[in-house]
Amino acid sequence: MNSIYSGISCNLDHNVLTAALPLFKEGSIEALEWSFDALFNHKNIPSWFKELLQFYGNEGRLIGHGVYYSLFSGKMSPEQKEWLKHLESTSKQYNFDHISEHFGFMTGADFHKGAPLSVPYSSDALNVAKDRIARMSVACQKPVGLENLAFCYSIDEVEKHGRYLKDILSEINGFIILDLHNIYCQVKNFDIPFKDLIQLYPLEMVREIHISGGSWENSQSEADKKIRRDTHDEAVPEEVFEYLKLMINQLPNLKFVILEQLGTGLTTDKHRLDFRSDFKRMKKICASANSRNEASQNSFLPDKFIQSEIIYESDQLAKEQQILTGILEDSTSLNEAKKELENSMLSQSSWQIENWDHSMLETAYEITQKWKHGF
Amino acid sequence: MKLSKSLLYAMATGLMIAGSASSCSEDDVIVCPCEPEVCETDCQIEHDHLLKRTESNSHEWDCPACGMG
Repeated sequence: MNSIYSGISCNLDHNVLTAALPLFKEGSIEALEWSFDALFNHKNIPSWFKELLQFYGNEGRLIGHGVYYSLFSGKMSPEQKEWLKHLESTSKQYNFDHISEHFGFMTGADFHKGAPLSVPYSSDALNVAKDRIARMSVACQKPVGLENLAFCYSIDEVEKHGRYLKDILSEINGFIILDLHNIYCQVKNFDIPFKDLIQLYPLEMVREIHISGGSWENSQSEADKKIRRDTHDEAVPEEVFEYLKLMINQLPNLKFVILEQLGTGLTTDKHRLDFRSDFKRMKKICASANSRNEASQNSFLPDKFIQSEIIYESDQLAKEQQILTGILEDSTSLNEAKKELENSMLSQSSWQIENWDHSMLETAYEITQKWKHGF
Repeated sequence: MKLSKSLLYAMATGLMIAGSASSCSEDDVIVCPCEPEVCETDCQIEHDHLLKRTESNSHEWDCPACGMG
């Protein structure tokens, strides 16, 4: 029997750990997902947190989830090389079952400043992503995967996202993290039915699911339009639980289902109770699928851990990313950003800025402004 | 997946100390990348840019990782 393990995203966060402590005491948490690159400004990690990670690692239930690698950056930065070294050493220290990262590139000149943005499908961008993910695979010597991004510039990108992930991951026999709240964002923001959207993903590649909550933002540029954002600060919406129920028996290689919530949304007893209630509900749905008989057929390991001696870089992509970042960070208004884009080299290019949804440009502008000073 | 009693005790104690600390140092404070160096008391460890962000943004502590945060 192929079990599905229910877990939580668990970083060194007081509120998350406090909310989860009763679940740990009950022995309910079957897996931990840790953002191993999140402790960049820490010199000391409490010994009990290390012991917690070791415990789950020794049981084969610890999974690593990177945040800062910036898979699609056209030029390989010294910080990315350091990140890979850190991944290599951390993977030797903790027994991860797999490692994952995010689709997209991080805006910003510094490694921990910027926002994650999507990249249009092109052979050049694909080659960059394939090169970077192969380096991840070699560094950690574990199955490696990518999470679908919530943010897309246009409906065309939304529809291509599953294929894009597949084409990158085929390089290393990698897996997909299907973030159902990210899918929910796209369903709402682009008014596309879930059942149509999900069929565009290679479901046999899904090894992990994320569920989480988010928030609604009033569009400043389109009256009466609300934008769904993946802010991880609220309880899981009912529809996301419905998605989980729909998908749980359609994913033959699913191994982990993870509840993500930020500590900032867990400051009160009520919120912590809701978090535990969401976890128990999620676990119950997973348990209902655990009687299935499909044996996992994919280890998601490559035939060989291999990377090119020469780092693939794209000056063109790097330049385009630099221009986009500069416009989104430096413009004093959304309209100014739009005009700057129209007059830039991104116009009439593979970025297809002419097709960008206006509210998504607004979102890109806002998240870039928000994160440009760092995390 | 039962944790040992000693580990649960260490976690509870560690969380209690972190939650009740009257001051914090850069090495002691418990944070995630989405909730940078901040404690509930009034220490001023690199808080300035975060405070500015709080004034201008309704999602000041959102996760940067997944897009649209």
